[in-house]
Amino acid sequence: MSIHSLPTTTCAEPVPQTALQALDLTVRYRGRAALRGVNLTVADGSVTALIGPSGCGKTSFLNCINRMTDLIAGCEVSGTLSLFGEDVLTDGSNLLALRRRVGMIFQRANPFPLSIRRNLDLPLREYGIRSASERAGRLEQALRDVGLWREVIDRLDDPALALSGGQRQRLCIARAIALEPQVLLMDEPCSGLDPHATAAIEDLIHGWHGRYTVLIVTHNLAQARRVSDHTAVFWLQDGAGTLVEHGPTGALFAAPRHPVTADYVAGRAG
Amino acid sequence: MRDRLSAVAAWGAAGMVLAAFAWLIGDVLWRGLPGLSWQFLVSAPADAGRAGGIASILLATVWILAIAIGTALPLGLATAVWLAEFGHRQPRLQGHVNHALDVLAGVPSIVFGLFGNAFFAVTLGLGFSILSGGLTLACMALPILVRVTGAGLQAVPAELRQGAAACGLTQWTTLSRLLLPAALPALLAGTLLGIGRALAETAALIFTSGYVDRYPGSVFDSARALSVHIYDLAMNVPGGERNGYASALVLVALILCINLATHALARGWQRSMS
Amino acid sequence: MSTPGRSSPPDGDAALRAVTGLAARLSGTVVVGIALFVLWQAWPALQAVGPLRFVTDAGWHPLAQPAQFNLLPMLVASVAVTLGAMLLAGPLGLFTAIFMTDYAPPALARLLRGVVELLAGVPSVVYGLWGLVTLVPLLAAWQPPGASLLAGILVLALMILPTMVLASHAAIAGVAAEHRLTVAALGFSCAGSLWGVLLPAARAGLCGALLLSTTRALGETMAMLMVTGNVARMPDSLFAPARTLTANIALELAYAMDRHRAALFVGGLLLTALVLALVRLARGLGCAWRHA
Ligand SMILES: Nc1ncnc2c1ncn2[C@@H]1O[C@H](COP(=O)(O)OP(=O)(O)O)[C@@H](O)[C@H]1O
Ligand SMILES: [Mg+2]
Repeated sequence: MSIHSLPTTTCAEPVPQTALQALDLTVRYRGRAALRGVNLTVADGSVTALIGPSGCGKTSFLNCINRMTDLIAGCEVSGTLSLFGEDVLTDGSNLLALRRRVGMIFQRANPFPLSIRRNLDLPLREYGIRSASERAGRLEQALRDVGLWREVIDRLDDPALALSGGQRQRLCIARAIALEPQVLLMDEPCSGLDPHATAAIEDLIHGWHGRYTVLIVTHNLAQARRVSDHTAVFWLQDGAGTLVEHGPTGALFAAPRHPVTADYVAGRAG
Repeated sequence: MRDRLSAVAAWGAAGMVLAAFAWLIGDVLWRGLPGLSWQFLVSAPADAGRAGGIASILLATVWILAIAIGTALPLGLATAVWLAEFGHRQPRLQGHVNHALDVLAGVPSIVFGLFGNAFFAVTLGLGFSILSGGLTLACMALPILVRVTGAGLQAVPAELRQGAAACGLTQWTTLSRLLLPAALPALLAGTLLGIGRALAETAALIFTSGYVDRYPGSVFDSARALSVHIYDLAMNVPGGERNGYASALVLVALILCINLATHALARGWQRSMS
Repeated sequence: MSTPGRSSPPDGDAALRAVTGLAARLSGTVVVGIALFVLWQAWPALQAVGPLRFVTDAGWHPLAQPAQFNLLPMLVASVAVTLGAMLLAGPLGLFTAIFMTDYAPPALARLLRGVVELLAGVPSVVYGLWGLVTLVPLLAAWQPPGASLLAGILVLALMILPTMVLASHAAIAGVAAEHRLTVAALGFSCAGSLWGVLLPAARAGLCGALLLSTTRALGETMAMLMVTGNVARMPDSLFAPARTLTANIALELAYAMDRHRAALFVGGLLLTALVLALVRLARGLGCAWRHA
């Protein structure tokens, strides 16, 4: 089946390069399908918002992309998923390399229980960056990018867990982008944050257009409209989540094609 | 009415437990204290243990424990790591190992003694020696070490593992830099618990490390552990009760210290996890 | 500048997995090794004497001509002391656990818990010493010779009491947390909630506590060796001396040769089989089984 024939992949503008392509992607937990038959193409450098009610498989979808699904006992993924043309799901593919190309931000900020500096230093070192000065440079750049540098400059060696919620989440973002990923997966990154911290993170995402390919799960429709250029709507059908509609954010919110999308964006369902 | 009965039974049971405890500990203190002195701790036993102290016995005990923990700890830690971090990829093997460890924890200590005697002392030719006794105790302590360490690893929040995986950290780095440090108190608590169990063990040692009460010269020498010393003084040495009780007091005090340390660790650990 | 550099060696992870996997297999093999080894050592006796004679011989006279290997008196003694101890320690332990969750002021509950934990750590040889020096003379003054099945039962009951208390306490406290509010909201009386809700809900844990204590009791060697009198005869009363399976091994392994030695291993095998049967039973009954 050619992807161009799929209604969910219709895009107004020509796609520069495909970052991510899912074909008939299905996720099962202990044999029960949680996400079924997802076909989705994501353009390089775009920001895609994943919206839909809880339990319809958005997290499961993100988890496939960097194969966090491998960590979950009894979780099976089928279908195909490719990242810049390379297959993600085959067993032989290099997991570490994949996860180094795909950064992930979780709903609950999860800095390592180490110092702020070590939080970034440890993965950088893992990536084989031997030179301490290069690591220090990347650390500073990443912290500047997320607007944290000024706040933590004089306490880089304090425990990261002493930071506030919004700071922790930005530290996690810094940790992810310090590693210069191509794709960033964000799973409800702002759901635990106050409006101020949320705005800071939305500003960040705005600045990333064209630089990273971003997939962001959010329950905040206004946020989806603000930050994304494409939106994918997930819904529960026959007990499993699936992708019901996908398109440019403006068009999707203005004229939803699928009835559940219409109800959802109008606040009548979900 | 039923309320009354339950209350009476509960208070009565607790009272009896406390009374029995007071009797046992009081007895050990009352009969043990007169024999206890600094001299008792630092001099070697004389006259089959009736006179002198327990210095060589303490030394032998430390050696046996060192062999036991030195063997069981690396093995137990590695096993716990495999069960917690890799086992889910081979669920059948994981199930077998878990079951085997559960059964091992239930094997009576005298059977460990039989096995240790036949395998380490006779078949491997180690004879009655510190090595035989230590290795036998290592087998005994293994399940406790695996369980407590494993519980510590499992209690590390899933977010930490996810974060590490999402950053593309190798499993080695995740384990050595993040998981083991987080589980360290549990690891220490497990080790202490294992030491406590090994320290209390007698039946498995009588036929493996033996009775010789001299200072051990090497791990191939037979040596007498503190618990074996108590048994020998009580059963085989007429007039050995006084020193037997003094030794028992030392043993109970050591175990009390270990218990307290384990508790302090566990509390600190729970605090750091929450 | 976006080449992620040399990825640190996945070889390291492969080695980690291989080494820990090896350790796990070794740990899993220990118990199998022990079982096979004990069986192997017991084999000469099983073959030359035959399994039947271990229960039909006239008695346990391993050095007589011809040698006699009846393990039944020891088996009966082991089972008798275990049952007796469980009858005492079971209810006592359960009620103490109930006391700790339901009746005790917090400070007293903490004290009791500390006491019980200390008791749980006291080596069996110390219980044996206490039994030998303090309890047996008392019993002897009442019903000589003192060293008897009863002495064994009393000492063993005291020994497994901590296991029983701690395991039942864990079971009850585990369910109490989730049911307490419901129960209070429904207006149950204290005992009503206890017998009607909490204990049934804690069934699995309590049954585990019982079976765990039973295996401990059955396997106890030192204390039994020191207080039961060690006479290898079928005990005919509570006050008669007896010898448990465990004590039998401890008493004779030092000098046993050849078939006699193998016969002692048969005793060990029997003991292991009994404990395994209990573990199986616990699993079959769905008991929450927790060691340590
Ligand atoms: N680890 C898991 N084990 C079993 N079922 C899971 C697991 N994770 C998610 N699920 C199930 O998969 C479905 C989709 O979950 P999820 O992907 O988390 O949805 P969302 O992120 O959209 O809320 C849910 O029904 C959930 O119960
Ligand atoms: Mg989710």
